[in-house]
Amino acid sequence: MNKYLFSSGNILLGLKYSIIYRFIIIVYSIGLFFINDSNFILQNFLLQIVIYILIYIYLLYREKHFLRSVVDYTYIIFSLCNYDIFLYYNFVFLLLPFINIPNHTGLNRSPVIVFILSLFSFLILVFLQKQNIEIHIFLSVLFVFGFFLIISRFDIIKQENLEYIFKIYQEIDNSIINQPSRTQVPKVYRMLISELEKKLNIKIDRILCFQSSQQNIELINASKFTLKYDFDFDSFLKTDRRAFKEFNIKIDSIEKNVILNIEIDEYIFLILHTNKSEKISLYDKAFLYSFLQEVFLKLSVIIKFEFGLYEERYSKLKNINNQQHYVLETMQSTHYLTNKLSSIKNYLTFQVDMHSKKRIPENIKKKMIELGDNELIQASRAMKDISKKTNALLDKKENPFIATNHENLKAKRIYMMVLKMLSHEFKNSEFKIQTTLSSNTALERDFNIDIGTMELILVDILANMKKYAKIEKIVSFEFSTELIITFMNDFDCNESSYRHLESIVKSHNDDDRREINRSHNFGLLHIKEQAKQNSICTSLILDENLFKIKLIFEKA
Amino acid sequence: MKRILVIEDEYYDIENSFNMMNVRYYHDTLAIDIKKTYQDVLPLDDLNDYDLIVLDISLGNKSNKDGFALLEDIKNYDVDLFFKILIISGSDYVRSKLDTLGYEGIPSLLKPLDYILLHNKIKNIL
Repeated sequence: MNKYLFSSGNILLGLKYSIIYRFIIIVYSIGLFFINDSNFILQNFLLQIVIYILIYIYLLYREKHFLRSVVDYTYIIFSLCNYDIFLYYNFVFLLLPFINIPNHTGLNRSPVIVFILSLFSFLILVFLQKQNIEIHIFLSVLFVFGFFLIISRFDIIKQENLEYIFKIYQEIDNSIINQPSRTQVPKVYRMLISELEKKLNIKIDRILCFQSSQQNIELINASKFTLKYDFDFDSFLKTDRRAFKEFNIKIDSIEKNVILNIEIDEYIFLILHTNKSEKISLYDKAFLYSFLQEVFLKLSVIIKFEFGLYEERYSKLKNINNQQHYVLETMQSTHYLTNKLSSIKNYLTFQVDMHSKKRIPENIKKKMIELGDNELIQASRAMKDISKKTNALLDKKENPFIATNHENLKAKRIYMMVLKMLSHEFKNSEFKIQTTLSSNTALERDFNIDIGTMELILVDILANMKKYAKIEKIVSFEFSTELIITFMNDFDCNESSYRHLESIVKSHNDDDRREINRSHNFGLLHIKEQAKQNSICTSLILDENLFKIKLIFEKA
Repeated sequence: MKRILVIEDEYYDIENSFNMMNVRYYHDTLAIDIKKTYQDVLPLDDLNDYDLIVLDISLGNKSNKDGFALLEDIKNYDVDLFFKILIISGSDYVRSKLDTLGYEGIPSLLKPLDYILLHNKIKNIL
């Protein structure tokens, strides 16, 4: 798709330049018509322009690039044939085709052809005007055409290099887009090495990237796995380190040659040559430098971006780790509690057993009572341990799932937050949004929310909607003194599921926590608990066709 | 005299359940040995000396291996020992994991325990 857009864009740009170039030729020829004092008839001149334009359009349509150039020169010869070619403003007309060199033959650009055509046109004009040409004038003309030939050649090289860099940029983008989850920089290095080896016919061992900070310099990535390296960074940083100056580096005890070093912000890229004794030409180095500097500039942005992503991922990992500790602690505590409950259960069983009507021999009963007394002490101790443990578990400070970072969020921000999560959860299905706005200030109203738990509430609600909705998924926002968000979905309308939902609604709307616990709807229980921590009132409503979860946000 | 081996790191919480079961149903004739870790159980030859092996699956931090790993070792050593094993644990999931691992035949008991429950479960083994 990108490639297609790029090539279409290139064609359109080329067409634009081609038309502008022909426009310049025509305007210049009109100028010459009025400047030069000649007997050329205006009607003939206008006819010449019309014929030129028609042939140009025809050849443009037929994609005859070379013929278009020939027609241009023919037009120029026709325009100049009545004027003195040795006058500078007439002669300059012959130089105009050089400005169109990047386009004049389409893909096969060659300033030499333009040079030959210009020289040939000049000689024709000299011949037609029956002028004598002295050798030094001819040499001057050759020199001017030659000068333009060289400038055009440089222009083409520059353009080719730009296109090459653009191609490499596209390949880098493709690598990053295809696998954004892990770093693609080493893969990009390898692609660069293979491209450069093909282009310059040199062997590159590897590319290393170091990050320098005030404290130290660290290797952050490389084209191939590099375990040990020995590089004297102190002397590297102290000495004159022009890009082309060569340094030695030891990789796994093997000495290698750093043929190029490029510094971009805090990053130092080193390019290592495979063969230490083989020399690289200054031209190749210059190309490497100008090319890699552009590419590394882009790569340094990618490295920074990846680092930012990694930092975010790491901070999330730390957060998950804290939550995992809490969950593991809770699991271990549950195990601890079931062990402790054994004493209490055993004592209760003992009491029931001793007071039952079963006949128990006295000697056994006596021993059992002794053991029972002991179990009573054990059970009382267990009770204390259990209450200590449960208090610790219920300590809100220790619970990472409890809302603690409240901040004032505007109603419009909450709206955007819900919308973003909705679009993500239902990206492959349709949902409806309804909004009611009492006044514009209602959007600016603040609500004291902990974003982390708010997101958990929304994840639970949306997962619920996704699970039970058949077709309809509607979210309504009412912006007034409060903010009311109602999540609605249809459901399977059979008798049993209706009864089931009815019981969920009843237990959820019941303020008795035991009632909710008994219903085993943990998702809805969590929504209620976490909403309460954010001063959000929740209620469930069951209509004939819709199941609704209503969140009422209290003003901060 | 019948011998019982209890492999459990927190035996003090269930000690009275075993003692009461012993007095109430076996006239205090059972000899109860306690081992706390996997390494205490080794060598596995010693397991042949017992009529019943009560194994807690979690076994605590000091144990080199948990109850599942010990079961695996026992399976490799002598599968007949499975007939005198009773698993105890604090979690329902242990039963389903035992079934998944192919130990459907080994009985299990969920904590919290009491002596009557314990007796009902092991009377068939002893």
